[in-house]
Amino acid sequence: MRMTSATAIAQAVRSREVTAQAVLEQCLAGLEREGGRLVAVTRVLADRARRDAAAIDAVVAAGGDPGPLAAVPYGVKDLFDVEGLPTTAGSGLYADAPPATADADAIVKLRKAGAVLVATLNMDEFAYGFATINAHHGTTRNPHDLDRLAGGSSGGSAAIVAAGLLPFSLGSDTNGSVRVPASLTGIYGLKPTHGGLPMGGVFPFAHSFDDVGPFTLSIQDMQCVWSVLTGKSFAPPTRAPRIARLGGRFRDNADPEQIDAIDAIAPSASLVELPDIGAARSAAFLITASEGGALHRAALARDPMAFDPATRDRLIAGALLPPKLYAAAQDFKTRYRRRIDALIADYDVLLAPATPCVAPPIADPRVLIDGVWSPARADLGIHSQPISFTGLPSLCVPLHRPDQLPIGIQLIGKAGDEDTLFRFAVMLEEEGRIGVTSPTGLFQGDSL
Amino acid sequence: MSEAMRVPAIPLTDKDVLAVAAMLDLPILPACMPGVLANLALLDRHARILLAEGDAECA
Repeated sequence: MRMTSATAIAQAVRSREVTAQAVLEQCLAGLEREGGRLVAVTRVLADRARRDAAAIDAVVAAGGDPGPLAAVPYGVKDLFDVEGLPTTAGSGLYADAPPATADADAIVKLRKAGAVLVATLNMDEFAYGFATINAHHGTTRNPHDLDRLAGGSSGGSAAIVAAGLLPFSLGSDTNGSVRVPASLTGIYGLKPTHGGLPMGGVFPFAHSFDDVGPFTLSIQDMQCVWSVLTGKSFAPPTRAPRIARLGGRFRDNADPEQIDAIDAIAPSASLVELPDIGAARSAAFLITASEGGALHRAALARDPMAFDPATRDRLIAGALLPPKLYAAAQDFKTRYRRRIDALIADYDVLLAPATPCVAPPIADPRVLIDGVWSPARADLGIHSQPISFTGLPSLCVPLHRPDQLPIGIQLIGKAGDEDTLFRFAVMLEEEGRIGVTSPTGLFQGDSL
Repeated sequence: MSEAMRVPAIPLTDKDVLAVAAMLDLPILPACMPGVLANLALLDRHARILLAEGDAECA
């Protein structure tokens, strides 16, 4: 049984067509049967989930309403606080850390809406990477081709949803860690306006860009999860959105089908070039390295060999950056955001590739950037990182292309205007231009 | 004076890495040095892009 629609599950439970406990047992059986092949799950929280499901059934039996996500099972990237468990951020370094004393704020909100947390999910150690190559837990596999990367750093959160084993999940996105795996696994992933979703109880990486982001299999589910997390209802549209296409480096490093799809969506839309896009990405790189290095400096001094070697050396390098260079990058960011706000004032949605290519093979994890092969772990975020730098919301949506490896595009909006992105995505979904394609082979079956 | 001249250089040699790390009380094990140097070289390329384009933007 595939778990493909959060809203359908909630509706079925609220109308007593199925019990929360039955939904959960089907979900746990799927994770047990198929989860191991994906290397996506780090911990299954069966006891907690069974308690929550029983409580929801009791509410329904008493005539109450458990909420808009009633009995919907979900998972979180392994950097959200879960009461009673150590928050490891994907690292063996914190495997024996003191347990969290409370759930992360986002988990609290989802639980109040009836959602049932069933698993913590794999990630690049400390979220530093675009590949989910984790020395402690292993490399997360793409359900569309188990020999390919799922992307990262929230790769476990994306793969488990793309496989239909959970209907939604939460990840975090600093420079593309939701959008990159969403693109490579063919699902929806949101980087909200910076600061738009609750970060309390989330292990940080680089505070200048860190955000919580959901993964779903439909826009309807994304809107439902967004509404629960923000408490906001949707405003009616005031006019048709004004669209632009991002040009320059975004089109130079893209799959031809991404460009064709963008041009088909908005054939007469202006082609806008963001200025100094190379400098913006470089500044984001430097700020991220510096903040990540500073965050982990004490642990690097105390126990460097407990880190994943690839993460450790990146963090040490970041810790050694001159503070004045960090300040220069931050100063550039402030000026850049003012320039971008002015440049895009006449548009509501900007279209851009989400990743430069489909999922790279695990055996050769490289991507072609400006004609040069470079490590996927560092460079899969070439198109997401500059957008993080602007602080604008970006929704990664999957192009509808059955029988091919998935790839996504970004719908980028004005600060605080996620609603316009959702509405535009609904239109694209209805036109058949975007949409999720189930993986063939391993992860098939009836849907719930 | 350009940004490039005002910002101190990124350490790119074993000797410079150890000197900066000592000031931060951050021991660098020999096993880490090759990876640290490779990452610093990458960060140095990004710093040059930032400072060059940042200067052009201000010009």
